[in-house]
Amino acid sequence: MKIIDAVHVFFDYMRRDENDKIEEISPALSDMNLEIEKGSFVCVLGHNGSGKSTFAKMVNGLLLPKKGKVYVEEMDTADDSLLLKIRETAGMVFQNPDNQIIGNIVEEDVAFGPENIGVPTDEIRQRVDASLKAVNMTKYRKKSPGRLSGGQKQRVAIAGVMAMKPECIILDEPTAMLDPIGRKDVIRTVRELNKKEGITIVLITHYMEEAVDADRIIVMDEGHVVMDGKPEDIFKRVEELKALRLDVPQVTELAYELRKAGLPLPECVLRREELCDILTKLLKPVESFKRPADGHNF
Amino acid sequence: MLRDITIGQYYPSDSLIHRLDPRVKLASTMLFLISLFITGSIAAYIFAGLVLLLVIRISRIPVKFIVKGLKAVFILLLISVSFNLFLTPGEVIFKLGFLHITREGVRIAVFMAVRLIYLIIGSSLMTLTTTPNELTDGLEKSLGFLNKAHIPVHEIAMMMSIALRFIPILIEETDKIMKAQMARGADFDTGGLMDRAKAMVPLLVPLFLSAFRRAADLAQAMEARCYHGGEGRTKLKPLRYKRRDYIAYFTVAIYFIIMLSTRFIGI
Amino acid sequence: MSLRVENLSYIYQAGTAMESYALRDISFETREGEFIGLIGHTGSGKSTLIQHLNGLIKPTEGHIFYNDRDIYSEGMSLKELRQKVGLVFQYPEYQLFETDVITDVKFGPKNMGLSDSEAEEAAKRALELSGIGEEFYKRSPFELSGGQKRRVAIAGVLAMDPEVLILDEPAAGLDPLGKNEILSTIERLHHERKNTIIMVSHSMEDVAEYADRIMVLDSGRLVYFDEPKVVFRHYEELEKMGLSAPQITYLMGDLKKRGLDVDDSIGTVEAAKAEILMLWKGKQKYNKE
Repeated sequence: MKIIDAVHVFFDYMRRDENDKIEEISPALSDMNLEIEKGSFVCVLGHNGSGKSTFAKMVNGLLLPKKGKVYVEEMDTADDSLLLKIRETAGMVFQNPDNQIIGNIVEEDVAFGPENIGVPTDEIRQRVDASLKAVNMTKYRKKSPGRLSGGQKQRVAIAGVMAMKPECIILDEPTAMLDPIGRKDVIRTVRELNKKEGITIVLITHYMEEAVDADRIIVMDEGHVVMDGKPEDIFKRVEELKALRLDVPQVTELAYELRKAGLPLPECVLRREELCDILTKLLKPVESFKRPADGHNF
Repeated sequence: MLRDITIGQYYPSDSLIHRLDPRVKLASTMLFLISLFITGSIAAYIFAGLVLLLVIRISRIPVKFIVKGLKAVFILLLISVSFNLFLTPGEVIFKLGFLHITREGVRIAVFMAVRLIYLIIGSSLMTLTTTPNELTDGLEKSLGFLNKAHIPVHEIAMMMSIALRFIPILIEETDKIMKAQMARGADFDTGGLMDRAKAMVPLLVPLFLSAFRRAADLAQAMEARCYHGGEGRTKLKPLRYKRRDYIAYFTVAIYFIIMLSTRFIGI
Repeated sequence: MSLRVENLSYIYQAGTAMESYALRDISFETREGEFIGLIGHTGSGKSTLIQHLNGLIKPTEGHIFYNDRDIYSEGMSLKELRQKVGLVFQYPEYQLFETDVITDVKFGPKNMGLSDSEAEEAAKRALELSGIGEEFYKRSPFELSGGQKRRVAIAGVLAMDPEVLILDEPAAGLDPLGKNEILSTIERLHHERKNTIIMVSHSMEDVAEYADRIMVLDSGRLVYFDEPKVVFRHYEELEKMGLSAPQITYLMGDLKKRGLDVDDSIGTVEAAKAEILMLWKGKQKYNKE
């Protein structure tokens, strides 16, 4: 079943001068089509200006298509009366951790969403506690957000969305401003929400390593989808990705380079362990096959 | 310097005062401030001081912390005290050049100082024991009647709460931009008034831009989380009076009556 | 052109109950024209350290020498020091304030007392080095893309013609292309101008590619200051500090643990490729025999 459905979506940003005349039109989405399955973990890649963020804001009804339609659980985002329901269903986490926390105390911030949609007080309490637990931030619930690290702030933001009991969370470069520990924490949290709670995740990112474990990768360029497939199908197209101003994970790149140099490697290797196994088999000196040195058997 | 200001800061603790309904604290603070201005006797001030000390005790906020807050307004205190000290006409008791200190001047200056100190301690006690959110909730609820006069009480309260959240962020940002411009040779400390005013441009432009960018981001984040004004909103921590709140109201009323009576009995 | 730091300590909120060491007994010396990568997780004291180097923060204890002169000694001008030791802050694009690109870049040189035309010359040179074309000079800096804005901001520091250039997380928050452009700009600078460069980064991958030596800070202490190879060999210790060696280093470490004769201190894809190919060719030759 699909949860997000974008059909022939067009959008552009207009800049107007003082006299309200249109000075410049920059297209952001042009004929974007995308369906996202319920419960899946989808990663959206693309360089800055490829339309990723615009698309993310469409799903949440923050922006409306100039042409075309975006549906969230069959609800048309252009229908004003459904807007709150849509935002409840598809929550959003943004890039800057400081600029999306509204409350002065962690648990008060998490409660902000449910308060807005008029959830009864007792239930807000339950939802806040459950959401903080889901992102592993319970022990910080009375803290002021200013005292948290970037990664912790992002997890609070995720809890804030979770408290609305969404079907789907769209994360717009949630790790771009974080250090490696914060980045890992956030990605682990998101992955758990996907696995344990069955929440559909749409993760927009620049870090290719974060995309390796996704169910599906979407690559965007010039306002529409240009690649769509499983990570191993996408990352084997190294040259194409580079032409789209993107990277591949280091391990994948190394495997790709070695294959080019003549080593018999599979078309796409995504994980370190995988490459390690293959290379060990390939390169192990012959005699050690007879007597395995340190307990490793191949 | 900026860090010394305790007004507006919250001191986390779990005292009885912390747990009181913010409306009680707002009303009590108001009454306390009024009481300082309706009395003029030493006995009354001693009594008010003792009450204040008792409240500090119950709130479990270290006295040191409160004194630190006074430091930030020391200059203000000094100016208003010296104005009263030197400029009040009356019986001269001390002369230094063209400066006269009069008996009345000393009396007024001392009262002034005590009043100001009480006033600052009293109001910072409220903010120290009340989270900004509770405070805005309290204001929103107690001023709710203004809604009928088409004053957007909820929106104003929300704005206050957000402002409080962003003050530390903007202070930090100011510091950062200042240092960044200093690294480019900017000089904020020397030169005449005009030079200094001009030197602020490289600080203020980025600061305003950043504030606007944050505002836009925040507005978007609030919208994404279904914010649509105060209508139909529920609360995680709705304000409900408990027994302790009624007791507190009662106690404050007694205090106020005592302060009021000092004026009429003439103690 | 050298920076020397001796027993530098910095204490936050000294004399209060909140007192804590941000930096503790740090000593090091830079070599002329070298590229240093400064690594440490958030809160390790990286930003505090670099702000000491151009006199924005005064150490609680210890000394900083620029060309063998204590920067706080009589007759040293901090303003001059800040020109010699250029510091580019994190997200430097947020300090842009002028109406057009070139005027903004001229801000630094003009503060140094250069005439308008000299400042303009300096600004143009800096913009060219940063890869900002002439067509942008008169544009508002706020209309540029994120990566371009950042390069303009870096040019703002370069225009002062610093001998040492310190950059705090120059690639933070950019997309892969923007990141590569910034890093290669810095690399080019290093080559053309022979500046000493100190680059703060979270990313071991980036540092591995460019740095001659890597400095690792952990809780305010200088833990390692050595060539990348030597530092990466400690990848298990780095892990404990919340850091990690490049992905490639782990792979090489894994291969070594499985009995392959590889160098486990390699940190770049290129070096790893060469190493593995050598092994591969060796084995093929052996097979033929």
